[in-house]
Amino acid sequence: MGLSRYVECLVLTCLGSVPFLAVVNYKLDPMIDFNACSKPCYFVRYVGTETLPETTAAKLQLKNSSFVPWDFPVFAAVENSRSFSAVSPQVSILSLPGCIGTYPATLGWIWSAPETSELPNPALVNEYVCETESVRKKIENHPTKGYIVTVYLFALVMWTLMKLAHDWALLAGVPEEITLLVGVLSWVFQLLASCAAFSWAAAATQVFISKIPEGSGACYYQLAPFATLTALGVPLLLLYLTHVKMKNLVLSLAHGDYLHYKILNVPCRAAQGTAASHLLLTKGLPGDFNVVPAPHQQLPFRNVNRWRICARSLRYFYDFMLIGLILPFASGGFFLRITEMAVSHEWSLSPMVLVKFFTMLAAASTPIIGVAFGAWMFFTMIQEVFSEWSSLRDLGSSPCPFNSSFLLLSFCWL
Amino acid sequence: MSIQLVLPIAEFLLALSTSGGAWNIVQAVAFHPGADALQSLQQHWEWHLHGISTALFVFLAFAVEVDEHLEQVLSSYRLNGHGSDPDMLEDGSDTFASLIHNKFLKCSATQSLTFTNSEF
Repeated sequence: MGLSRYVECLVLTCLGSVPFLAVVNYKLDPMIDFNACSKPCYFVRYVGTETLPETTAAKLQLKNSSFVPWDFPVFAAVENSRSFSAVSPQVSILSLPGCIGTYPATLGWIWSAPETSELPNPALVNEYVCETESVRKKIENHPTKGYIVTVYLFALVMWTLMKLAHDWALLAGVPEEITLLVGVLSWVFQLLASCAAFSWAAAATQVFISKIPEGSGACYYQLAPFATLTALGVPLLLLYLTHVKMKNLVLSLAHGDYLHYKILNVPCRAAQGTAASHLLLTKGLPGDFNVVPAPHQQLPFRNVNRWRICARSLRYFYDFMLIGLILPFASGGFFLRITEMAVSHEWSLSPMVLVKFFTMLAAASTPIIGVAFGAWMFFTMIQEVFSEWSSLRDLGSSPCPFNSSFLLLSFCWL
Repeated sequence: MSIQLVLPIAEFLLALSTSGGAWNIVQAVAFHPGADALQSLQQHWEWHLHGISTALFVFLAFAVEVDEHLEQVLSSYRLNGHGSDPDMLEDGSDTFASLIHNKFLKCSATQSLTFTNSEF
């Protein structure tokens, strides 16, 4: 029985990591998985590599003088047998998204490598040539080249090993101070894998090049819809799991460590009775016969305080990675590709309908949730104003509601 | 100004500034499907920016303090007269769980908890 749990842990942990490994190692079929850019393909590449340089005006060979500085990343459109076109980020205090968009471009400008070559000119190729098998077979799979995939694989393997070490240690009864440390290390590697996965997927949502030996031209391609959705799903799922793991780690500091490899099912009434906000978990509930209380977590209070500081530092690190790197560099390209797929498909009974619904929901979520937040803020403040007013009335003060809170409320709402 | 106030204001401002872009996308997806809608460079750049704004918005919406739970435990412990500095507890036997246990025993009369003393 004891050994079987260790084996089960090993098998389930490895199985959990297999899909994340399989996606990056999947060999794309050049005839099926790529669509030639016979219509414009839109992308922005902030940081270039030898295979696919960054999309600056200089690298795109644009002659328009409006693109200054020349090595500042711009949003480009490429179409086989036509020249590049581009639009540069415009900073305006009236446009918040515009301001947000300049941040990754500025970072890309700072990090840009001037020694990379220019982007091959698509105007020098014939679009029919780009559909031939010989040209398609030369498509360079640039996301799999470079150090990002190495970092991703390393982080993924370390994450798996740490998860395994954590769960085996917990099953073996190792003190929780050690298992918690291993759990935190596992989470750090998971976050690293998420960042690398986003970088890989951001590259996968851009364009792919097949250089034509004759001349300096090249054919451009983008991933087909199914391959794109698969590429986008991996980092999003990994980030979601990282987020959930972080919340669970913090809970485990308060209530005790838990097994990572499986979800233990408990009755609903027990889950409700042991909700996180109650600060206590017990094995039994009132009404149960012969209730056996759960043993206390044997973690000294002093150590919990240290873990709390550690958890807060991890949270700040997580926020920095999300706001500083993942969201600005990857989310724009992700959303753009999904929106393009949603727009380019007609309404029909196909899986693409789900993509269309998701896109509309994602696009509309900002104003809807924003208004909900505004309304929530409004009603919360109204509630506070009335409670303050009632307390003042009880004290015999003036019943005038136009106090400081009311003025602040009016100002915020306006 | 507390984070509880800053976050909704930031969310609200972000929502206002992206509402135009959101409507354009919903309109394009719902009413103008087909290849013709894929022609404008500026439109695609706006979609790209809207993606970044939406991701930032979702992040803000979920930007809850994950260590709030631990803070809650620690502050409730302090409020119940166990001292203000947790590091003063050098004794390893005085575990965190037993402190919570004591706290609940102490407060069981005043709080609407479903736990009974027999469970401890």
